[in-house]
Amino acid sequence: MKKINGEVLLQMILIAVIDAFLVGLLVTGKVKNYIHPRLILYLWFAVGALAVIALLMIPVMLQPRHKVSLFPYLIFVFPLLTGFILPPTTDMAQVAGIGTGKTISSPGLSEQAPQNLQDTVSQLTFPEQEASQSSSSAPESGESAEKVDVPDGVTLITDDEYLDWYMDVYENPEKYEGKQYKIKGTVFRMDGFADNEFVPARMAMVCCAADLAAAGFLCRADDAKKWNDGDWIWVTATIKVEFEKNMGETMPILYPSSIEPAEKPKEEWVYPTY
Amino acid sequence: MEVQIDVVTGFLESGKTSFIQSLLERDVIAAGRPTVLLVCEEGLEEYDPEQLKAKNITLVTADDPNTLNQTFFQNLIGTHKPHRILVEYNGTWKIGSLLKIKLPDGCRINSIVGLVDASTFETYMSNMSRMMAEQLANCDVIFVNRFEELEPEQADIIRRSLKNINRKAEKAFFKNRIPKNILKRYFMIAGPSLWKVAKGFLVVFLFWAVVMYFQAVQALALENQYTFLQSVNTIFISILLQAIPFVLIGVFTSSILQVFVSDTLLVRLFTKHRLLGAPLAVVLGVFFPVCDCAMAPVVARMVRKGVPLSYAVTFLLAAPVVNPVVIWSTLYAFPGQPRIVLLRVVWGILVALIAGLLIPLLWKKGLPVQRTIIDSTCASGYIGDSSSEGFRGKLEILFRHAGMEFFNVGRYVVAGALISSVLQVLVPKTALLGTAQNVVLAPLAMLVAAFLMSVCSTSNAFIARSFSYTFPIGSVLGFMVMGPMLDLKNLLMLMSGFRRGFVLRLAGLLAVIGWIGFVTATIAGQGVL
Repeated sequence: MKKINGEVLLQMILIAVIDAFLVGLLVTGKVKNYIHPRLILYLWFAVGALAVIALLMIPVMLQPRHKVSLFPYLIFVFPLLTGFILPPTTDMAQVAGIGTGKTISSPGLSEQAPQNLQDTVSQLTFPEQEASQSSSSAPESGESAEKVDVPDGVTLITDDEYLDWYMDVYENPEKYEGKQYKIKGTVFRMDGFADNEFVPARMAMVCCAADLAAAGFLCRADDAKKWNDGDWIWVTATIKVEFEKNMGETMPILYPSSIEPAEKPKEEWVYPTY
Repeated sequence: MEVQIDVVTGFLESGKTSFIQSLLERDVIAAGRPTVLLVCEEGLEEYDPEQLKAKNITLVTADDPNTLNQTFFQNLIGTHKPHRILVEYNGTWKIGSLLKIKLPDGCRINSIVGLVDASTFETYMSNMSRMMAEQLANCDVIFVNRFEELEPEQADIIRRSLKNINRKAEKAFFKNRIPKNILKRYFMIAGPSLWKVAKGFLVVFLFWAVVMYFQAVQALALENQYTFLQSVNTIFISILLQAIPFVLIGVFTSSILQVFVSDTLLVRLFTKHRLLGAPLAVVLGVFFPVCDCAMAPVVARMVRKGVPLSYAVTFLLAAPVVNPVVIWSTLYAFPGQPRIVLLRVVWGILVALIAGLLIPLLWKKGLPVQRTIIDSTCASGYIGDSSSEGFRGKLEILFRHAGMEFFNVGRYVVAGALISSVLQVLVPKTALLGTAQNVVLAPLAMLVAAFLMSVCSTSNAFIARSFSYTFPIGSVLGFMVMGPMLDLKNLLMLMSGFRRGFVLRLAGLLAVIGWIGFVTATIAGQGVL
């Protein structure tokens, strides 16, 4: 066997595996579970650049080197291993925060400041408190072939429109007072919510999964208890702008006329564009 | 039969012959079984034939590197049946030629020892760096002598240059005799390398264990553990995916600076007018709309090329703040509150300038990243010659250099991302909430959060937004400003280019400035906002 530089060979192999992993994610679209779509172009650049680097390394690899050390490259194998083995979590509840209480009324937070709700719910919240395991609702069956019934007087908000709608309602709530909308979201609760309260939320990703945050409005429904955390639902509701005493703010609140189960959308996260 | 080959190399007059002779005299090379001394260079000193005979050593000469091939060694071994071949190699021949030879079975190269004459090192390196670097890069140990005349600083430069060429080799400076035990370490007849085999097994075993663990957790439906692993992994991989393109941009920029931009040009840019340096460092960041992952390699390169430390640090800290994408994203995260955006930028620039000003006071021991004498080799290691000259050759070197830096920096990115994701999932945010109302503790809590959460400066704004409901706005500002400067992943990345002591001091300085600065901001904010 011809003598070669083992270290450079290992580098080339690592690059090949990284590129394979990246291309796999990009082509299947799974990459969007991890990062914001605007970064997709950057990743293609990375794939190309790495490939060129590996090719140009060939002559270096053919030059043998005395006593190479391969051990330090172990650390690169680790993420490749876990990346291939563990699928990305798409369960919002999981990413939204493990390690804190999942009950609706939570003890042990008495060291709190006077406010009961730690974070507001009607703006982008930091994913921190939801921990309950969800029983994922309706099985995914194909794309947007889901039939949606939209009653008169109600405006349907699609996945693509959700974030823009959300931001506008948040900034100009008066404009929307009394209007009716049908939105899709997943049930999200935080500590301190009353029994009839939850948030039908979509998880918004700014850059990468590390900054996922729930975007949704507080919703008060009599039958709230029958919906588990993480269930995907359609909420047909009227917006009322009220003062929420726990948050100490006036904000839009949803009062639903009906809540139905929904199919999990193909792309669960929403991506703000700016 | 088992034949061990030990090589002694070094430039002309570096003392190879006397070195080998002392090995013989001091019995490091023991008498007894036959040894072949293969001499490839005719130097001023010569071997004493009586001494050689007494030790059962046969002298063989080779004038031409082309004579050294498989047949040559087969004949050598066939004729003399040595148990060791000691080679006094020629300082102008490539070690690569020796390494390429397909040696007969049982024959292997054990140690390659390099000798360096400190008094001529700098001269030789300036003129014949490629040749010397190629040899030194392949050594197991480099003995440096004749350095008595040098200033300690010069000796240090030599040490660093050697480190750049060959990070792993032991570099030993000896005025007098080299201790026998050190010599024995390299010239001992080595037995089968059990340690290596054991290491190999350990690695394979670790792999198997990790894979088994994941499978088990999945299969046994250990919900909590699996959830935990999956969440950590999702965040971990996502941080890496987001970082990869920008790390590449960073290492390419750094490599472009290394290969195409001369040191003097870069330094002059910053130091031409005394007062221009710092503002330039700030403004430069505007043209660098990349994630902070790209910064570490570029800034390390700048310092290496001689840009004054304080300007480089200011650039490093200011860039994530004046970055147009970041400003825009802050506007988006705090709609209708341009004042916050303005404050973020102003405070960011202030902290960057102050830190830049103060850092030279904390780090007086010369550059935290030493400049080297050599141009063609650099801290990333020796990367071999390019196959073509001119622009194409430089382009090749550019890509290889970038590749090398990618792996150097990459390991820190992986480590930072892993620690960050574990902490992010593990540490409940409620832990910090108790401090929210305390004017002194809130900024501290925000600094800690910023440190632990290694998100890029764009996402940083949105996370800050969510904090802004419970934490005073001044401390949240601290989170936004100090986040990109102080986060775990970035600090680890800096360690790939800078010395650890420097990074720790910088972190400490930033923590102090951050805390004081944003306690002030919090107090001020309570009244105003």
